[in-house]
Amino acid sequence: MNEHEKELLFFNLLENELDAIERKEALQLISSDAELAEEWKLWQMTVMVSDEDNEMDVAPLLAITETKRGFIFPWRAVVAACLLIGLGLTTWLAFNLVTGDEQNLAKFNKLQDSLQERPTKSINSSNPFAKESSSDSASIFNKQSRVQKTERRASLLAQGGSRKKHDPVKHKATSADSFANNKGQNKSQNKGQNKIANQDSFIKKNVIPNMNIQKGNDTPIESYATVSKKTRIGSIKKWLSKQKKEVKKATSKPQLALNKKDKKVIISNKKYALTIKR
Amino acid sequence: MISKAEYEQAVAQHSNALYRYMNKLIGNKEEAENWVQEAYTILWEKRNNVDPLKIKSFLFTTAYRKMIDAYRREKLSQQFQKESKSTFFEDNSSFDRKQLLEVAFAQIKAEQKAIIMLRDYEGYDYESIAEITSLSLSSVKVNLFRARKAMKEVLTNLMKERSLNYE
Repeated sequence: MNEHEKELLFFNLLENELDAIERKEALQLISSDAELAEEWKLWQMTVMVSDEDNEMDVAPLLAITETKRGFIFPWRAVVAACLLIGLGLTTWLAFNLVTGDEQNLAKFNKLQDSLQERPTKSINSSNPFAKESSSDSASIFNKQSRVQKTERRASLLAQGGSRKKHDPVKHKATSADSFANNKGQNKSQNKGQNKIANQDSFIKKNVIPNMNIQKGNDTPIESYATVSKKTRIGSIKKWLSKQKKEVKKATSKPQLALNKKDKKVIISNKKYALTIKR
Repeated sequence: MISKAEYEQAVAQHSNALYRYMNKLIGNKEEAENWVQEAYTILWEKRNNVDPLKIKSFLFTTAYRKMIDAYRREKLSQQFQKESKSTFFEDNSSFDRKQLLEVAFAQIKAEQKAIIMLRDYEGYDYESIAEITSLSLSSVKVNLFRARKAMKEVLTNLMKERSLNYE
């Protein structure tokens, strides 16, 4: 037997894991060998013996049924609950801040719709051509310009940009005031041009019919500058056609006429006439 | 559910055994008494959920877990080992088998001590020891074998030193 087998034999013998026959044979083997007997003695010493004289006072144990434990404040539970509540509040606030922009955008859309429906107030009193709210053309123009501004603000919000102090507007003469002032200043410079006697009638004829206010599309709004260009082109075309007619007249086939009485020869076409005396 | 009468009976039957068990493991009588009281307090608080037939195993399981916590802190075991070893070498004339055994017992691990105590002091079988210590049956046998082997080797060395000292 090797060392490990010996140890297992002693352990099983000590723990009563062997049956009667095996136990008898093991004990015979141990008794026949002095070295095994010495080792078996040491293994037997490893069994702990209970010291019965060691006893405790049981009175405190019996008193447990009479007393109650004091309340222990659950610090961990309170801290965990506070953390959870804080996390929930933070999430709720963050969610509301994100959706706040969408709500503002909806508000602006509603405002835009209301602006198109309700009657507008009179334009700036500094404008010399300004009239009261009974002036339909000016009030319509101002209402439309206000609508344009709200549209621009709504688009900026939707894009997530901040409102700028000065919105660069590429449309020229978008307000009746600026146009009226410019026209008043340039009036003296315009020589032989059409003079605008009434701002309102001009806006009514030229500006408003060409303004196309649309929501949510990218088509550009027509300005005054494009209107004058059209009229200029029209007048040029008219002049051209007139000149063509003149040229046609001038280059028409000449006819010969003889006047015997005055002794003259006349060569003429639709436009010119040449008289030759004899 | 445990009634008050059953609780008092448990105190009379198992308190001393539990005390000896804790005292042997920890090596401090006052601490052993505190933990015995803690074990019985927990038993009373959970009396509605404990089977009256398993009070003893409940008490020893609770006490064992307390002991494991104590040895993980490694305060009491080191203190006990130092004191027991110094006592043996300082006073050789009065040593006996019991003292030798205590010195050998102090050298083994905490889990092995608990298994030895449950096996030798209380006479629990392997299944009960496995239930109390939350180990498997094979682990209990292996730990018990290693504990006895370690104690036997310590005793062998001590016996050799003793024979040398007397020479």
